[in-house]
Amino acid sequence: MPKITKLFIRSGMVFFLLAMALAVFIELSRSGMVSMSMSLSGLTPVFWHFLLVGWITQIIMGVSVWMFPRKRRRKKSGAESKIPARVAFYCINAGLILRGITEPLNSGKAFAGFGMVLSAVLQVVGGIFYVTVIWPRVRGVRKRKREGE
Amino acid sequence: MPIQSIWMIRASLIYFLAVFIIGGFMLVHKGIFLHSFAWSLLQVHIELALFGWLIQFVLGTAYWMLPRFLEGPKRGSKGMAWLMILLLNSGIWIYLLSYFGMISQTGFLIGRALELAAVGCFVYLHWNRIVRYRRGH
Repeated sequence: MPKITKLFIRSGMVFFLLAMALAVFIELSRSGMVSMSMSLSGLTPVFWHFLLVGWITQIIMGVSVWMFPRKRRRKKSGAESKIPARVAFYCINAGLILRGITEPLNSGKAFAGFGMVLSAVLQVVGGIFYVTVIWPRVRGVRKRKREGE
Repeated sequence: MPIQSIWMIRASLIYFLAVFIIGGFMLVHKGIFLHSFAWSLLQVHIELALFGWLIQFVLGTAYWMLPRFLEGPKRGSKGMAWLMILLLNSGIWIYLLSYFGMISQTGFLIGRALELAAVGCFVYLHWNRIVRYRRGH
């Protein structure tokens, strides 16, 4: 398993745990068992994005980078660059963490607003880098001719 | 990778980009007011994320990866596979056109019905591909 796949999947697992912990916390807050100063309306989108982007999308990214057919290599070129996949990983994770911090605190404060803007930019950039990595690998594979065929 | 999977996965990647861009726009709007139109995109964001990106990617990969038949067409009827792709994507777009009021409200029902039909095709195509090939099986 490539290292980048390990990073995506382990990070996905962490976000999965965080999402479910957040879900429990949200339910405790709704029931009044826990009081908090943050608004629930800020935590709920964080929960959904930790689950759908942090967990499911990162699992898909990690496994697709591992499993999809490799790009056809020309004889003189070296191995394909690992940098775009790493950029995708760091941008998406940084964006999600920033979102997790700033969205619940969105109370008109400048730093929270700026944080969400930066989070959005990071996630979009990460998404673009992922598509540039995987798009050329969505292709048919040439079957090797066996002897005698 | 079969051509049907290539189409589905590439379509899902285009939806993926659209989802991230729309989501990014809405998140920026949450931080700094951009345009009141932003929140009307939420349903589009959800629809494209769930049906366009996640479900379509999974269906395309499953069509490619699940064990193939030993006799006959390796992945079942190609016509049904193309029908599945057409139904899913047309269902998404009809739903969204209805959401924006470009077609009548029955578009919501028709869109979901087309998506349901796509899932029916998927289950029909893949039910017997959920198999383990071992000696004596």
